[in-house]
Amino acid sequence: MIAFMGCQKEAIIDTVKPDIQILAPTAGAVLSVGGVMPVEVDFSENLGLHTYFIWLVAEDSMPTLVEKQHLHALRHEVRLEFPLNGLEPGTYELRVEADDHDQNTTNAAVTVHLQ
Amino acid sequence: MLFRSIGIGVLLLLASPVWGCDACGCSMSPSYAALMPSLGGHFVGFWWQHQHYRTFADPAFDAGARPQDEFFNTLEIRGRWEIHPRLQATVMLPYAYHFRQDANGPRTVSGLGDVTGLLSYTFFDNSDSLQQKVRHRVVAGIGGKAPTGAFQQPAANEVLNPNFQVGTGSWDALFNLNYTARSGRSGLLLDATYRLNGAGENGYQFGNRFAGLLSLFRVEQIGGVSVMPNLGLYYEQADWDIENGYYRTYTGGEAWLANAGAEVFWQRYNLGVTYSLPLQQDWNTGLVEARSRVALHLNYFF
Repeated sequence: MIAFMGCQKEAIIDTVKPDIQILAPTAGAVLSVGGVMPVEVDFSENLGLHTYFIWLVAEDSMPTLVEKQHLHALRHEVRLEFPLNGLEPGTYELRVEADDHDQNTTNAAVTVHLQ
Repeated sequence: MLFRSIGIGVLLLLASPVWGCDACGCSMSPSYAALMPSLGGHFVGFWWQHQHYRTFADPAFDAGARPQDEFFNTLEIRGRWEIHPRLQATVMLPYAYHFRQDANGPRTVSGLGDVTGLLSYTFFDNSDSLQQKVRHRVVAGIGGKAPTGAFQQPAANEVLNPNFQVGTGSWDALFNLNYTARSGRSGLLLDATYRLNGAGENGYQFGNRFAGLLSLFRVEQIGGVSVMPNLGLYYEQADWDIENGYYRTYTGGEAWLANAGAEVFWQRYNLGVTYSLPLQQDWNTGLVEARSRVALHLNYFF
């Protein structure tokens, strides 16, 4: 019984945030309107990812959703090509947000240019 | 009359846990409460329980997504051996069949569950006294649950899902205290069970559970049959689960349920049914909703 109780008391609340690695596009990448943007993002989490969102955000803060997912995984890779149709030339930010089941949230971003 | 001396005991069988959700992380309190006759002697019986849960998508992510229904069925062979008039040993061998309908179609998991054993000692019992207007019975029990049921391991890159399993993967300790008061044909039952959970080899430890029951009953004689309707209030609570030293903060919770049921005794047979409806609940940060429960059992005394 003591062992049981001991295990219970030793536990802590997870404060480790998910890790996000944006492999593509690279910061400062120049892309073409009407083309595609390669999106490669790696996620990892010590206990498990909960959700992630990937947006392409214009200078006026108008976001375009690239992908979102609700999942249960220790690691996850996103590999896709996002069509850049209908977007105005300018500077954009690819923003990635991920959280785990304990409300630990990580944000990451890279800036790209559309011409 | 054989069943005139029927008292009631409650045995809370803590069955295998139930599934979480697509909405993320859910761990129900798996308590299984059922009235059990404390008629002396040995018995063997079939016990079946059906539980319905509904899980909801995280509104911050999947607003408008349809909730998913989950059904948990446990059929068990339960046997009790009266070692001594004051000492009884009960063993429960469950078989679980769980069903879940999600976006990818139906999912099931089934198999032998965790074996539970309980040793009960009657500390006080004047239920046979004809001189007492109110008769009392106090029973305390201690037991354990062995990880005989399968606890499926996740793939290398997956997060462990502890809830859609037929076993918990852990050794657990059970403590039970039961009080029955009888006056004439009516009676009152108070029962409390605490389950102290160990950690499984996978590093997952379900939060400790408490379950309590207050039940009122009455015994009616109809020919050679004793009928015992009962109404009760059931409470269950679960602490956070722990995984590899971290609390799983979206697990645990508590619920109040209303119970209505009846026991029928005829010769050496006992048939019982209980229907439960939640009155108030807060499970897994509200993303899981317990629905109705039905329990049925048939015992043979020898």
